[in-house]
Parts: sequence; structure tokens; C-alpha cells
Amino acid sequence: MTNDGSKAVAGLSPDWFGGVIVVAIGTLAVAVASTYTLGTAENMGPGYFPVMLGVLTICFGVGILVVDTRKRSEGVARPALRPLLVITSAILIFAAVVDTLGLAPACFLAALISTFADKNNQPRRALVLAAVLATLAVLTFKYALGVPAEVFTW
Amino acid sequence: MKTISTAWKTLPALLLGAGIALLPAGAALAQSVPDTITVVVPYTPGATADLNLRLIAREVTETSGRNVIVKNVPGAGAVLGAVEVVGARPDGGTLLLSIVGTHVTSELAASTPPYSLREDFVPVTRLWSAPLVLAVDADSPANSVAELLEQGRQKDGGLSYASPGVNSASHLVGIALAHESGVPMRHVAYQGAAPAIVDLVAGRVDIYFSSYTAIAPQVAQGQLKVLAVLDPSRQDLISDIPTMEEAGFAGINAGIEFALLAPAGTPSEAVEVLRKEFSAAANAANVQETLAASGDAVATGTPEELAAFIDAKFEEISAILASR
Amino acid sequence: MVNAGDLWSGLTLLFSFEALLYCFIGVALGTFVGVLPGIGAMTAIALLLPITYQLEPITSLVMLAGIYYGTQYGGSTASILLNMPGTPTTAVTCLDGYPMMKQGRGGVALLITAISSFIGSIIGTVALALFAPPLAQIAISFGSAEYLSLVVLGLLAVVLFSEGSVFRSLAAISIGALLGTVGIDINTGEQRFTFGLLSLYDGVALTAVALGIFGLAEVIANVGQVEERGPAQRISLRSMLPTGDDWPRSLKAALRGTAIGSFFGVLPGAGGVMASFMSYALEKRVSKNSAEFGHGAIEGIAGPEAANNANAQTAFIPTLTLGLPGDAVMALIVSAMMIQGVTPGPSFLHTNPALFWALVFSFVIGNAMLLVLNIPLVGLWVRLLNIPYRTLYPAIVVLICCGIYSVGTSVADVVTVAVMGVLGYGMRLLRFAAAPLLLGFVLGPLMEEHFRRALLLSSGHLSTFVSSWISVVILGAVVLMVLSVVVRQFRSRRQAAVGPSPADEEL
Repeated sequence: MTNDGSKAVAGLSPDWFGGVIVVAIGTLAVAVASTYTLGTAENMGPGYFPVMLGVLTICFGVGILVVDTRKRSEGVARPALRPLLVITSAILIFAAVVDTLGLAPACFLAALISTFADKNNQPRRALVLAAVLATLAVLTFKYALGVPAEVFTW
Repeated sequence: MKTISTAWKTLPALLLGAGIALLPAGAALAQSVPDTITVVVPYTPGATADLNLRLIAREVTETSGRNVIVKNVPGAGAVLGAVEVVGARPDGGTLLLSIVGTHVTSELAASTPPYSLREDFVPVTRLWSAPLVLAVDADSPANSVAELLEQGRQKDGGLSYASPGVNSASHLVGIALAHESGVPMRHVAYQGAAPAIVDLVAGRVDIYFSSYTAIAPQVAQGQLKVLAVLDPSRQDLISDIPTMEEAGFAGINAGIEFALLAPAGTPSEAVEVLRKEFSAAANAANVQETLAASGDAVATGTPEELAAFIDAKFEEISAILASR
Repeated sequence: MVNAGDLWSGLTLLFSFEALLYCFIGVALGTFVGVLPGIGAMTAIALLLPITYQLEPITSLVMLAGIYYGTQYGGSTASILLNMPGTPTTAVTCLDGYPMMKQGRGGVALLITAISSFIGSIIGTVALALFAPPLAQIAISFGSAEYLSLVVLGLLAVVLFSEGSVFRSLAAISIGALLGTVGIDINTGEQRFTFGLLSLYDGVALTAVALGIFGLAEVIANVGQVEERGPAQRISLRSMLPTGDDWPRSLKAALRGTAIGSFFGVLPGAGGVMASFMSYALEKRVSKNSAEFGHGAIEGIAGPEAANNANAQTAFIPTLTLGLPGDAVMALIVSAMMIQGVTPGPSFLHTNPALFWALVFSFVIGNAMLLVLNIPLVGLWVRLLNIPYRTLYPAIVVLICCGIYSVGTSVADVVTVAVMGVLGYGMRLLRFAAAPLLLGFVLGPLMEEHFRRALLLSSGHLSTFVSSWISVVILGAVVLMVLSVVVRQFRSRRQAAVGPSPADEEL
């Protein structure tokens, strides 16, 4: 669950940060949901439940800020930014490309890009791995399972 | 090096030759409908709409030799499927199976979809329709529409009626009936037919305007009873059920009508060819039989008739929505 | 009641080479699809539906059913090995299965889940065979008021079994519930939180959320430490076998899980997710080693796995005897039956006894096939883990992408996984658990739907929520649970004032 053994960022308490974010999410939810029809408790409109949830979220966020911060937790672990950005990009690139270029290129790109999350990445190895994975993926999903996706579309 | 430069020189010649060769073929293609047609069904596979269409599609494939593929694009209340067809090439190769009422309602009631049914589509033909019936719990004291409405007048809060989704035909007809009869009717939306039927059988909800097929097993087992058919004429399958007209509500008709639409810009020759083939398939004996067995009636026609039908639907549903 | 002649005709119907072959194909495919993240029974059945038109009714039914319950075997594999739920119902298995894997007990976990799944399925099948009609009546007696009390019980269970601070769990639940409200509102058709995006019209996909906050977040977290991870441990055959204590604990958990799963399976629309985590909550509650939960407690995987398999089998009860499918996958199976000219419904047992019994026997045989199939596979999966992570994780990324894309060939789902992955990773950094968010996502909308509907049906009378004995019993259980926790807290605080304080984890 937590990043055991990773370096902590001193001074940044997960309780403060977490609490603030939760309150922010709750406030955002209330702001957007209150534009929907609210209705009454007996005859709820679409906005009622989300607003209620938003308010509850704010309360829980306050709870985190008030109660949890009393415990001296260790600081937030340093986020692994490189894997976060690289892997997320890999998946988003897959999404961007799969309909326009096809399943095989999308898998290839996703695999290739994700290898960059590894600091010790070797380009040649990465290319081979990506090609192999793309082939396996296409064989499994397109041919074995019959998913209606185009292998190459252009 | 050398091979590449010679290739570059011959390339234009090749292209020219290919173009000349393809020209008559291209012209011919423009005249007729492609050999492979995709019909987009905006519902999940296995829904009744899907099954009936596949039957018709098989019939078209067998009689005309054309390859008809059924593609399911569910989501966004049948809007995603429509969007897919709007974006397709208007060469007669892509069609949309539409429940007319659903597509009209989504344009009028919900936030507007990114297309207009009347402008971005060309009607091809109607295919079949299934009238709705008024179903109640078998234990309900009412045995006719009149008795049911009387009950509603006595009850605090009127009657409750189920629908498989907001803005469905079942929902809209309830609004219309409430307006006509003056009995307050509370709409209770469910996610699909199955949970609605459970609550109806348990007697928690008073009415469900359903297609007959959906509740036939329960009616046969005596768990539900049908009080009226929402169609001008009695249905063969359930000939002892009176119509709403007979019950005094001539205007309250509702059904689920299926039609084929093509993207705007599809040439009228292609539309005519498609109309002929699909109408013929729908009217084939075995298709009619299968559909009739579940209470659906084949109802084909010309594109003009479909266009008029769509216009009428727009008017009808606007009126219902306005009366809320 | 049960006619020997019917049983015999069922057996003879089933024991044809074709039916048995397709049963095997179905369960094998189901396991395969269950292991793959994202893609699940729904996709597999939808893709195979056209093939079933050509087959005999019994053959197509047996195959489709096999896929359905087969996925419940495979789903836990990825949960245990990669902290990535193969199907949303196995998300709970991640909680203790993955820690077990990290302790080197992955093989044990896989074996126990296979056996628990088998137990759950067989007992669930017996329930289907013998008690289908009375159990179906339970399905009908559950209206929205009763479902609401069940959901409240579920929410309480989530709060109670969650690790870490209560406020964090509660916040995660409510944020998950907010996420669940995205899409069109059932009663009014109004769009909520969609910001005009057509792809959000039907809401955020459950599978994408599960995959993102568990699986993807895990990958991101692990890659960051790929240098710190030592060479993969060699996993010996011996370590795959459960040790003495494991068997009785798992067995009891599996039996309890079966009871819970069978119950939830009968209720159309309750879902396997709820069954599996209710079982988890129960196990944590009754266990003497509750501190172990979240760190590799074997009951934490045995119970839920039995539950989701029992759920899958008893889900056939409302489908076959009432003709009312409990979820979208069952609805597909119903359509497949109707194409074959078989109409499930109240008269099904009378008009098609042979088909019914053939199906029931196919469940027994299919589950046996699955057990035989899955146990040797444990060795294979464990060996796969010996692949160095730097080669493995791009494969996982591709698997996640393809898996989620296959479900609806929807790009939006893929983007959702990415977003959920970032969210899940952020949650880990800030010490929020992922499970409560997922469960809030499932339970929140259910709560709203049933609350509103119950009020609509009763014309606004709140008394409807306590008007049936079922609701009263369930709500009574809720009250008792809350009281017992409060009392326990009170006692431990008093003890803290007197002596050394117990672990400060719960509040």
C-alpha cells in the first residue's frame, strides 16, 4: 500500500496534503452539482445526492486535517515522477493511436514508451521487447479472442 | 541508389495507369451499393433489436448475395451508434438500425446529441414494430383500464408506473395517459426491463407499459395480467386483450418502431436498392413468422413514409414532453 | 420434487461429445479471459454469441455458462500476482493475495483460491439444483427498500474493514461514490459531471477504475523501485503448498464465503463485487488474527473467492426460474437461450427439465475441469514471476491497454485507466487505501438509486424503509455492528487510560 523504504520528502505531511486535496475535491463536487436540479429530500433531483456527497467529502477532509494531523506521520514519500509520467503517457499514447493507427502500432508504442520509465533502459532491447509484446498482444486479443480491433488501419 | 531512382521515374506512370484502369470500376461503384453492408445496432448484442435484425440481415445475405454485417455500438442511449453512422461514408455501405422513438426523444428531451436525425440521416425504410401493452400485477384488484384508473383516483399519490429507462416509450406513454385521464401517475425509472418486471410481479409498482415479449413468460404463469394493448387494432397473439381505444383512450398508442437510416448524402439509387432488399427480407415468410411469434409486426414502407413517420414522431413527442 | 427421470435425461443430454467439448472450451476460455485484466465474461460472451446460433441449445448454454463462472477462477490470478484485478469481483483478493505473493506465498494463494472457488461453485450449484424455486422467491421479495438496507450494511462493512484512518476510508468511499454519479441520472435523464462528453454519458467504467487504481498504480509504484528490487526469488515447489494452519482456516472461510455469495447471487443486481467484499468484511470480523488482514491473511482470499464463485452459480437462479437476468452478462445468456428457442422463466423447470439438469451437471463437471486446469497453472504463473521486472512491466502495461480496450473498443476506457492510475498512485503516496474508493464507486450509486426509487414507490413515505421484516433485520444488524464497534472502542480507551494502549490503527 505505501512505498516502503522510499525516501520521504521532509516537511510535507501526507495528512495535511491529503486533507486539503479531499476538501478541494468535495468543494468542487458541491460547486458543480449545485447547478443541477436539487429537489427535496422526499423527491430528490439529480443534484441532491452529489451535493450531499460533496459536503460529506468536505467533512471527512476536515476530519483528516483535524484528527490525523495529530499523529506525527512520516513525510510523503517522494513520488516517482519518471515512472508516473512515462507510464501514463504510454497508456495515453495507446489511447490516441489505437483507432487511427491500429492495435499493433498502439501496443508497440505503449510498450516502447513504457520502457523509458526504467532508468537503465537499453534502446535496442526496448525495441525488440516492444515488437515481441505487440505481436503477442495482437495474437492474443485480435486472433485468439476475436476482439474487433484493426491490426493496422491506414 | 540506382534502383530507387528508376523506381521514382516509373512511379508516376504506374499511378496514371492504375488510375485509368480503376476509373470505370470507380464509376460503376458509385452507381450501386457496396458488396458489404454494415448495419450499426446501437444496442448491446443479444437485445431483441439485435436478434431480429440479425435474422433480417441473414435473409438479405441469402437472397441478395450481399454480405451484411451487424455491428453493435451501444452506449449513450443509442446515440453512440448514431454518431458512428453519421461519420460513415454515404455510399450505401453503412446503415443505422434505429428505434425511432428513442432517437427522436433523445434529440428533444435530453441534451442535444451531436447530430440531427432529420438533417444528418436519410430514411431508408421501416422494418418492424412492437406495440406496448399495459401490464399489472396479477393480484391487482383492477381488471380493466377503467377500474385501474379509478383505483388511481382513490389512491393517495395516484398510480406508479415503471419504465426501463427515462424517456423511453414506456415513460412517455405514461405521461400521455396521465394527461388524458387526469389521474396522477408517478414515473419510476429502472435500469432495463428486468428489475422493472421484478417490482411489478412483487406488486411494488402498479403499472408497466411493456412489449409483450418481455412479460410473456410471467403472463403465462399467472404472475402478471395485461389490461390493454396500446395499438389501434387488437393483436393476433393476444386477441382477447382490448385496445386502449376500446378502453376510451384512442390517442394513447405506443410502440417500439424499428427503422433503417442511412447517412445523409447517400445517393437515392443506393437507398432504393437497400430499401428493396431489406423490405423483401423483412417480409419473407420465415422472418414474419419469427417476429410474429414474439408479438412484433413487420411494417415496411418507402423512404417518404418513414420521413413522414419521423416528422409525426417529433410532433407527438414534443407534445407529450410539453404536457409534463 | 426432484424427479429421477429428469435427472437421467439431463445427464444423457449432457454426455455427448459436443456438449462436453464446448463445456471445456467455455471454462478454459473463461479462465483465460478472467486472467487477462479488463476483458471479462461480458466481452467474451458477446464475441461468441454469433457462434452459438449454429449450436444445439445445450451446447451453447453450457459453453456460455462455462465462460461466466470460469472467469471467477482466473480473475484472482492477476490480483494475487500483480495486485491487478482480472475482474472487478476479484479486487478484494488483491488486499491479502498480493501481500502473500510478496511474502513468497504466491503459490499457496493461487492454490487456495482455486480450491475455494471450487467449493463455492459446487455448493452454489447444489443450492441451484435443490432450492431454485424458493430461492427465487427471495429475489422477488427484495425491493428497493430492502436493497438499501443491504447497501448500508455494505458501506458499514467497508468502513470497518478498511485499514488506516477512518476519515481517509470515509473520504475514499465518498469520492468513489461521487465518481459513480458521473453519467446520466436514472430518474431524470439529466447529465451529471459529464461536461458535455459523450464518452462519460454512461458513466465511468468499473473495470477501468479497478484496473487503474489497483493495477496501474502498482506498476507505477514498482517501476520506481525497480533498481531496489533484488533478483526475483526462486520459488520452490514446496513453497506452493499450503502449510498446516492454512487448510482449516481457508476451509471455514470458504464455507462462510459460499453462504454469502450464494445469497447475493440470488438477488438480481446485487453484484459479485458486493458479495466478495462482504465476505472479506465478515472474515476480518470473525477472525482471531484480524490484524493479519491486509498483510496476507489466508481467509481474506479464501472467503471472497468462494463468495464470488458461489455468486456466479446462484446468479443462474433468478435467470432461469424467473427469466430475469441479474446483470448485463446474464442478459446476454438469456438472449442466447431465446435465440435457441428456450425461454427461461417461471415455467422453465417444468417445460425443460432435461435442459435444466444438464446445465446443473455441466456446472459440476465444468468446475471440476477448472480445478484440474488451474492447479497445474499455478506452477506456470509462479514461474512467470521469475521474469525480471524490467521486462515484465512493459508487458503488464500492454496487457492493461489491450485488456481494457477489448471491453468496448472504447478509447475513453483506456484514458480512464490512465487517469485512475494517476489517482491511485497519488492515493498511495498520501496513504489512502484503494479498496474503499472502488466500493464507494459501486455502492454509492446503488444507494442513491434504491433510496430514490423506494421513496417514489411509496409516494414519499420514509416508513417504507422499515416496513418489511427483511429491512428491519438488516438494519438491526447494522445497528448492532455499530454498537459493538463503539463498545469496543470505549473499552480499549478505558484500557489505554489504565495500561498500555493497543495498536492505534482503527480510529
